[in-house]
Amino acid sequence: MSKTITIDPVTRIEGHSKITIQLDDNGHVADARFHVTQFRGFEKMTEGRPFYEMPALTGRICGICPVSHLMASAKAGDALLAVQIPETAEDLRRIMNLAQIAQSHALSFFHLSSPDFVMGFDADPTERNIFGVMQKYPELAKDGIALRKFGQSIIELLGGKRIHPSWVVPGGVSSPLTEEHHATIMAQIPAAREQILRTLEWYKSIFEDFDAEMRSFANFPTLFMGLVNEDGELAMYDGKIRIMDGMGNIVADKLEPKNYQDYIAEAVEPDSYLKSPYYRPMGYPDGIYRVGPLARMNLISRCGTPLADQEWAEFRTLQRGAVLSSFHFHYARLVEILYCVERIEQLLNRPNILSKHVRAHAEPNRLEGVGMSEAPRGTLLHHYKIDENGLIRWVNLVIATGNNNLAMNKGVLQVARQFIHSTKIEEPMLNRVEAVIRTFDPCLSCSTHAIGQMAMHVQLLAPDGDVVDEVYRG
Amino acid sequence: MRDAYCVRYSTQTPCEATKTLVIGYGNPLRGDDGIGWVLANRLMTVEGITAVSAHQLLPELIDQIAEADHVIFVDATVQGKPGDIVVREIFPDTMGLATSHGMEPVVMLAYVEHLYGRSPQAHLVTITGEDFGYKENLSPLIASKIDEVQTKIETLI
Repeated sequence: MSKTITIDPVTRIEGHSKITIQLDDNGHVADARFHVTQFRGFEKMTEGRPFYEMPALTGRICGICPVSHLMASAKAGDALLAVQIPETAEDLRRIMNLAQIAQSHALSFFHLSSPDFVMGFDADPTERNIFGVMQKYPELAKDGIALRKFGQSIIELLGGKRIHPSWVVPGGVSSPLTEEHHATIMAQIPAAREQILRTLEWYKSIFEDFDAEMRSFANFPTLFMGLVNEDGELAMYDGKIRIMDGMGNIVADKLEPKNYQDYIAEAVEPDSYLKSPYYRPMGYPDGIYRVGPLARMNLISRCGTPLADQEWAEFRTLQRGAVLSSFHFHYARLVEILYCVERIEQLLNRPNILSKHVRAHAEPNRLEGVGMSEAPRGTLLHHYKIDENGLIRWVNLVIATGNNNLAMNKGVLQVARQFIHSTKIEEPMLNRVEAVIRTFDPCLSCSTHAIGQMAMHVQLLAPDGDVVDEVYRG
Repeated sequence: MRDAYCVRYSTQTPCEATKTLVIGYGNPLRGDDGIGWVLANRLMTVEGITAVSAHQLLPELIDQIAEADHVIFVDATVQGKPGDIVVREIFPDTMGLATSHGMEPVVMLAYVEHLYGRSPQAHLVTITGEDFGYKENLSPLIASKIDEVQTKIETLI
């Protein structure tokens, strides 16, 4: 008799989801699906609001990565104003964006994923948690806390508060950087650099122990998409879209973000509130692509900062063409944290970084605007249409995590087939199915514009819908 | 699995504890949920106290907690009757609520205990809120309780 295994909720991720695994009559995995069970509705609820409120409103989509939404939203607002923001404002936005990425990656790696690396995927859940990490490697845990604090403190110094700062606005930023805050941030750089280098050294010494996971965690060819600058370097704030195939060939390059509808389309599946973006020219679902740290490491010709360039070069030796296993999202995140630390220092050393000219003022001069930037989890896009009074008429948000939806689904199926072979559900099997999702570090609160309250249980269903077995987690 | 981290670094000893830390947390845009912020801001001027206001309890506060010999958490609650003030001593507990959006005080203490081998004396002061609507002001009832709560906190020191 075929059966369905449901993992609900998926743990150690942002937001709420469940995984359904369908077994055939022989107990083999026939299908697996990743369902996002939240619904938010920001695209609808912001209609009628003044466009200049959008950064503050869309920042409320998420308490973990509000800065990402501030960036994309403000850039869409810049387009509506038809202004070029002051250079200093752009640099300051970049610094905040980089700080956001660093702290988010630190959260993902140290707090959500390190228990698997440190304690092992097969360890008992009572030990396979952050307290287990603290017990075994307290300095690793301290470095993780410190790196997150580094990013959060920069956000607070620039924006006035760590969560939902309202400093990024259409036209620029609302206040310049003070000398005092500049000095405070600069003083933190050496320690942050040391912490991430230490973590990289440790991770590179252990990750190859996870051979089975590397081979099976969403390890398949897909397209990769992300922003790069004019030199093909890592571009977290602004650039043009590059798309690469699984062999490392550039499929499309220098694509304008504002023309995204020419190359990105979105499909909707009935069992999930998360839409499935795909590369339009290749159709659905063949146009599957990945975004985020792994994609960015594949797309670029270099990072653009000295130590990150060295680490990136070493990372790229993992595989010729393109690095395909999503397990290496973790490694890519660490390289990106290093890049963020170095790049923040470069920007702070720019001669005009303390300039008071940080905002361009104008009335709306266009009725449509698109803003795109790289969030911790990948490419993020805000598209607004306004009326003559500057009120929002229509919104489309293409969220970083949503871009990875097809790949996450395919990854769940792949790892389920690798690790689940019978109707006997064992904890390590389920942890690996969850862990493949964690490699993507999905932010489901963002990607479904949602609130989540849901029952927490695992159900085993017969084909006729009868509940064969039930397990409660948490 | 190689023990690179264990080999390179010895266990750090915590800083010598010398002060009281008050952490007032909550959402100041949700009415009475902002009581923690109000009290923390008031206590910033009181000698002998280091006061911090925060939206949520997150690991970034660990260092400050580890350096204190006494930490007092201040928060609104929905338990009890509006205006109730409860003061209780709390202890490290790894089984408390911990998400990437926030942690319970007992989990924060557990973090400190695990990382530094000790945890400061700790109290949790809660005030039962009356109105958690979308506003920046406290309700009149809770606003009238501020002095009383502050006195209770100062008594603990």
